[in-house]
Amino acid sequence: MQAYKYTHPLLISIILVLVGNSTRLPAQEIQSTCIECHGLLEDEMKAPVDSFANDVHNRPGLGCVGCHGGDNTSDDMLESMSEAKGFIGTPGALAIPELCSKCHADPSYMKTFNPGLPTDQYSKYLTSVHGQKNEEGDTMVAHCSSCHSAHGIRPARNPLSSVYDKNISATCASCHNDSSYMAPYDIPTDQVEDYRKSVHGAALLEDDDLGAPACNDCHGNHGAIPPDAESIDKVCGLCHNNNMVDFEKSTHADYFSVLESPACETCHSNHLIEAPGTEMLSGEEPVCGQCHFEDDGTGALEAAKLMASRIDSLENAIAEAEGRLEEADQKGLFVNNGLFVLKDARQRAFKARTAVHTFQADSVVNMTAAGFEQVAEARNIARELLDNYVFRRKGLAISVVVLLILAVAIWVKVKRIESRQKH
Amino acid sequence: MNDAGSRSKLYRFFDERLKLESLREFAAHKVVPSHRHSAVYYTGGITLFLFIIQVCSGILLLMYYKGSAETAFESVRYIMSEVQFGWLMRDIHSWSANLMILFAFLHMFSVYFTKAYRFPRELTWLSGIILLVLSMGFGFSGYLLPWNELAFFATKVGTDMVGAVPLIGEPLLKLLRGSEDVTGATLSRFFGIHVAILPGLFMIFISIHLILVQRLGISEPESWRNLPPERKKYTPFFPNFILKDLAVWLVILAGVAALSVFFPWELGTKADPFAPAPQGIKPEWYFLFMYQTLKFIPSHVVGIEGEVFGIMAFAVGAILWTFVPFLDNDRNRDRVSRFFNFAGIVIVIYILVFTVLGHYLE
Repeated sequence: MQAYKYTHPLLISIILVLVGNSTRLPAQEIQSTCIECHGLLEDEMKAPVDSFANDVHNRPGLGCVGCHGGDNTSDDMLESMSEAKGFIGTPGALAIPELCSKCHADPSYMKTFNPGLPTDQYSKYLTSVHGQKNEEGDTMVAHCSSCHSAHGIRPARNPLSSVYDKNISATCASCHNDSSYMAPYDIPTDQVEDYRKSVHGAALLEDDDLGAPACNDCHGNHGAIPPDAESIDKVCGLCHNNNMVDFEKSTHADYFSVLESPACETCHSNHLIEAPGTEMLSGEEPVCGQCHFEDDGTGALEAAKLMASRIDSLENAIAEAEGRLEEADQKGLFVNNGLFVLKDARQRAFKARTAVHTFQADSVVNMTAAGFEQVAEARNIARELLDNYVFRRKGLAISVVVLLILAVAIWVKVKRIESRQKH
Repeated sequence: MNDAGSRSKLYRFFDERLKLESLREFAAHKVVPSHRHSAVYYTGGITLFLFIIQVCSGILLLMYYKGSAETAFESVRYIMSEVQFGWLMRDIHSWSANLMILFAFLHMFSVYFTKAYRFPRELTWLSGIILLVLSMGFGFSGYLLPWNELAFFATKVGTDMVGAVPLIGEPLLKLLRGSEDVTGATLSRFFGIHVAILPGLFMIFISIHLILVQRLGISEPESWRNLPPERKKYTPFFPNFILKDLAVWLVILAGVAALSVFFPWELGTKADPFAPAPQGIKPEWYFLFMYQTLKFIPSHVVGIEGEVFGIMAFAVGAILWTFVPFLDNDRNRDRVSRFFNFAGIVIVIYILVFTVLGHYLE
């Protein structure tokens, strides 16, 4: 959280009077005296002017006075920044949410600028941990400008915005990654680092997959709350719907509920979610082993190994068939039919991975069985194509020999005719 | 037919109805000049043979091809994967099409450099030029028919060039595409052009071309002008030359078959009009020299838009080329003729260099 440390208002007033006197402009030429004067200052007094040039609020009728009050048409600093003109100076952390809500919570007003923009940010904010603590008088928690910045606010879809998908983790990290700043709150500060190493973070930050979740996709943005044990599956299920449906039907759903274990997080962790693989089921330290053990009477570890083995076998078989089709493709044969069948098999393997969340080995076995049939079909297609390749070569060789023999025979015939004609 | 009696009976039957005797007389006296450049006489026959392959393989493809945006790609895929020897027919059709245009060019330049277009063969040259244009039309319209991504965007680029023609470009573009853009309507139109309009026109002009060749005989080389008759050697057209032609055709057929097996034509992915154009879209190789030239021309030349200037220059060049028999005729030989030889060499080098550049440059 960045605190704003302004110089004493009296000092600013003196500077502005001095500068203002020397650069006073005729009233009709002045667009905004705030910009005119602050633009002539330096460092943090000038910074808002520079940032505001790209701010979404930089448009006629809004501008500085929209938030700070005052009169931006008066070139007399004492008048333009007078309380009589409504000047409020720099709004404090506790006042900012309400200040922004004056416009952003007013649908009829916001409609005139951006009819598509929601107007429930403030009411959601009040339900968030940030909002509740702000209400309680905590000036350290995030408020509007903590995330959106104060004078360089850009729409969330703008890649330069502090709340653009790819920038959000850095924005959250500016507080949540700072252990000294977060010390009073007694919560971990490694979430963002973990997230960046996770399959989600890698997809969004390294592969530029804007569909991958950032912090706000799970925690919400204005109504940010940490998902608890009951809601975590709802959050994950927003994207991983089939996994969630399978899980909810499974016996684990009830047990996890009783044990107050979070549904997805128990096996996949939360911020450091790695790409799931069959090693989670049958590796040296399977996640099932957190609760189950050999001969515990449930057969869970055996079932997990069976599921992993079927999925691995199917994926290996797909890769092998793919290699055969690739070989045929390199020989110039038409392999699309085989690839179509393999696409279905890959879909089966994908569904089998999803079916793991039923925790029923039979579901995975049935799903992979259909996949194995498709792989066998693809392998047959590949074999037929490769046989056909040999057939084509042989056919070509025979045809060429026949054609060339005919051509030579004709040439010999012509030579005989020519020799007869000479005589 | 071993029995001489029955042969003569059968021959008499047809002779009485078709007057075969006069044809036999004509064939018996038809000769082909025999000299060290006689090989060029085969280029026309090879082009004709490749056209015959096109007609035969095209008819077979037509039995399974479905010419609409929804079915074209799938039907070609079906031909390649399910139809017995369908892959062979498609590959032969594609290879033979390209070779046909290659040999048409070779034939044209061999005629050009041997001055075979001169009196009295000006009309043979003109009909040949029309046949070359029709062949390129066949290639351009046929390229779109599989309705794959490359064909779709290459057709878009190609028809855009038509749109740049001054005055008539815009209506011509709409006429060609059947709509503002390349769509299913364009495919239907190109299909119709490829299998009905062009074959009809081609048959008319190839008939004219062959009749003229038979009527006027095979052109003799310029160097024979002052040779005494006893030093001129001739080969009888029937059966010597026609049998040699047949032998060459068989070798060409073996070559087309080998190309089809070792270098099959890919089908690629189905055309998606809403997808962005893939990188490196280029027209077929025989349009590359024009395409590359247009790319090199600056955006504006003498106040005219570069592309328009280029197309106008090509149009002027094509008109001059078409009427070259009337510019380089018997009356103004020697010096002028040397200029035409030089111009021909420059044009060949230009086409080769720009085709290679078009192939390798991005």
